[in-house]
Amino acid sequence: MTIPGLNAGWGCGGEILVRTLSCLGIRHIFSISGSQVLPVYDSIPRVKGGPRLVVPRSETHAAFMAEGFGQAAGFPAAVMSTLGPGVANECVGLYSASLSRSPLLSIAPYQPPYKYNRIEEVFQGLDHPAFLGPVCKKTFLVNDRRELPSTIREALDAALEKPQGPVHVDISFPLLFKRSFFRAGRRPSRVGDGREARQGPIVVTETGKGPTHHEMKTGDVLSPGVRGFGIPFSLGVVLALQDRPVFVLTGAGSLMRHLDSLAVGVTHGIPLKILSLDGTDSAEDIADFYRIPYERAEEIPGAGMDDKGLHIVLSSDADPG
Amino acid sequence: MNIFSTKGAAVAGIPSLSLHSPQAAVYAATGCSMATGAPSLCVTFGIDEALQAASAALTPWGDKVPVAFVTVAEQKYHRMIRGCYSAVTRGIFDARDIDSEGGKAATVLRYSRPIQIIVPGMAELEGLLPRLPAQWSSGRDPEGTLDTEQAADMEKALGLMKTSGRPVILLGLGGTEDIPAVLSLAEKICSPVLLTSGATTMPAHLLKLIEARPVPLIIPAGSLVWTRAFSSADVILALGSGFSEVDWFGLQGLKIHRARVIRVAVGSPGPPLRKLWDISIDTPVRRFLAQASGRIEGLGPGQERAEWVARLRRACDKWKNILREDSEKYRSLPHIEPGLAAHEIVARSPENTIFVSEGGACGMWLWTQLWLKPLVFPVQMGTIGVTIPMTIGAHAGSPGARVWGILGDGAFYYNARELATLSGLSLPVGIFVFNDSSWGAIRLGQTFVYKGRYIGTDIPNTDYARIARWYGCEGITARNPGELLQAVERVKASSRPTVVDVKIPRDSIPYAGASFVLAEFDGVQRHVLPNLVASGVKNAFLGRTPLHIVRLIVRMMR
Repeated sequence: MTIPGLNAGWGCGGEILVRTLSCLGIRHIFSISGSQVLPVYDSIPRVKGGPRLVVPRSETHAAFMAEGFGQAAGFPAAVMSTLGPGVANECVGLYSASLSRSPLLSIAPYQPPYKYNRIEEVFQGLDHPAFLGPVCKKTFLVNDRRELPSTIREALDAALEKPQGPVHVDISFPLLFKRSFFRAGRRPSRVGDGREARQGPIVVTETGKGPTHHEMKTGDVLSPGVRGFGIPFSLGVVLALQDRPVFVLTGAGSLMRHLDSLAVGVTHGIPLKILSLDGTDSAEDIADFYRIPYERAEEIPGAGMDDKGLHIVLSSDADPG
Repeated sequence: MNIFSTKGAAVAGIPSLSLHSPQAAVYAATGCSMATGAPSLCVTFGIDEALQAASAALTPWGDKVPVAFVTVAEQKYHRMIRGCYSAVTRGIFDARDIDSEGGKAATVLRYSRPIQIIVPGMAELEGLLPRLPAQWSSGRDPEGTLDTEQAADMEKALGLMKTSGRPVILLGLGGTEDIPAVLSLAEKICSPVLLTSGATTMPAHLLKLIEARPVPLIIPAGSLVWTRAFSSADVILALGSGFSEVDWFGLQGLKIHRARVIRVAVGSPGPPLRKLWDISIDTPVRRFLAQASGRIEGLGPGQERAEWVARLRRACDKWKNILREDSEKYRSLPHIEPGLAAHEIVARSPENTIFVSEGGACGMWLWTQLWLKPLVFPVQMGTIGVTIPMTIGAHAGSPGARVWGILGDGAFYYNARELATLSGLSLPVGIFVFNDSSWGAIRLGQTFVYKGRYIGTDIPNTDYARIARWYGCEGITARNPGELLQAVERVKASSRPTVVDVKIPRDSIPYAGASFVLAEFDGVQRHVLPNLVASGVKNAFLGRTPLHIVRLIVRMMR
């Protein structure tokens, strides 16, 4: 079996997958663990220069982070969940990516029907293509490890083809565990990370509808397709555009809704500026709890610009104007 | 009929319970129906809510819970909704057809479980909701008697039971429709009754029927006694068991049973599973029992059967004693062992407590300690993040009961917002967070198969009690056995929602950990066998062999 661009070796399907993603330019995998994806997790440290594993606190937020990454970079990140409930939790995030036309590569293991031919007999069984098909551009299925690299490549192309959007790949999970030889082949033209040269800060809104009255002069305004998930979305944006400051505008209750995203941002050192228009005192308590720098500001532009880490700015400006 | 949504205290003028997310509303409806056995309704508005609810709908679908989803959405989204929900419901109906299709919808809801009703607008919703309870009651029991072939198979089955020296009745959730008849049969033929995982989570009012007549012996899933009875039996009468992986803990491939198996249930599983039984009667359990009851006179408890039951009864007592002795040993430790935590929570809980838990190491610890107590648990899907909304639903369905939930810290943030719902409703619910700063169940795989290479399964240590207080609940931290016992008593005495952050050590291996790993790696055992062996050797050198499990097995075998 040939994997272009790789040295020859002996590895499990999980390692082949990670090496393939690395070759194709995928730099981040947003994933919550499950037993069936452990071969992938175990392979990640073995692939030098390979994708970085970012672990959020729910699969839904993993999908929104990937949407943010894809929208900002113009190139997808990978979302990997365990089968059944893990994949199901991605649903609304994939729908959001389809609305906002953000490229996204969702990958999951699935139980092949070698023992059962009814999905309800399988522990955590879910017909992934039937469930995600309506919210994805395309779904793919890999039953043979020889097809794994080419199918991932095909899925990536489908995600990037205009209009861009999410795609889902199911991989027979015994394949992820099975070990085999692979050898080098001709290196493909690198798909690249598709990053455009942009300047200035990025603003993320939660409305799900694009720019608001907080439009910044020199920057871009991004938004998830579904409202209310601006914070996890913007974590993905930060990872995609690491040289530009990213501000997310949040409204009432957003901080309490997305405590897990704050935890993830702190754990992974993601420098995001959260501009909270809420004005409630709990923001200060939350910032103290997660040890996030916090300030109250009269004006939003310039607030937190010098800070390198996660930053909460509580605006006292009730009418942004 | 209990209604759950995100839209306030009433939906279309009918009182409902409001949660913060559509996912939580689905889990609450699921918890309510699992606790009561009665249908619940979950109403969502718009495509965004519908898709969020769909992701949670997998859980009631897997466990065949009677939850009806009602989605109000514009016509342009109906196709997408039908597409997604086709994978997680057993019937999709249009609100406009509910009068003509109401009976069918009710029958599906009653026997095959979750359904979806799509509504184009609020006016239609207001017309639909008041009519639904009447529709649910129109669900029909399947009619008829056994046909000729089934009757012949029944005679064969009874013949096997008659000559059996070590019979077992394996009761699945599908067989709980007539518990008195099952118990009567068990009594007449002197057979222990093993509950499958699904039946172990039967509603409290059905468990009360078992408590009222606990003869000859009922063994819930989750103990070595169950495995011993299952593997030693010579005839297994499986009533209403789906023979899914969950019912067999992923052990089908290992063929641990030597018995002749008689399967009685509705619907025929796929061909690969059919090799698991010798006789299959495709009929409702109630119908089989009604026709068999007159034929089982004379089967009578033989001497061998009486000794078989007595041996198993002694094994059950031994099992409970071992767990209790282990817990007493753990009390003297400076930290909290999760086995102690689960034991004390169960032992000190009020009489009418309904327990709620979820997939994960916490669920494994709890499961081992429970013995015929009401449990709400996502068995087929092993979902995490469901405990908090399910406790809300369980309480809504059983307002006189106490509801205590146990979840892991890996699942806490999924629906933590619903602590605000608990607080707002001022429900006397106890939530115990087993905080080992990790996704413990997945780390089991990394311990047993990946030689302790822990990647992507660490969680920063977090003060969940403080987070609970943000949401208006009481929050308590327990760091040692003394604090744990005090916390349990405070939860018992409190009339408000209380969250206990139970600090436990990382990588404690639950008693059920080995079977969990077996189930998770079902189908790839030969690929991971070298790693299993290497991990075992490494763990032995590092002193990480789960000796408490080895000791338990050895003592049970004596």
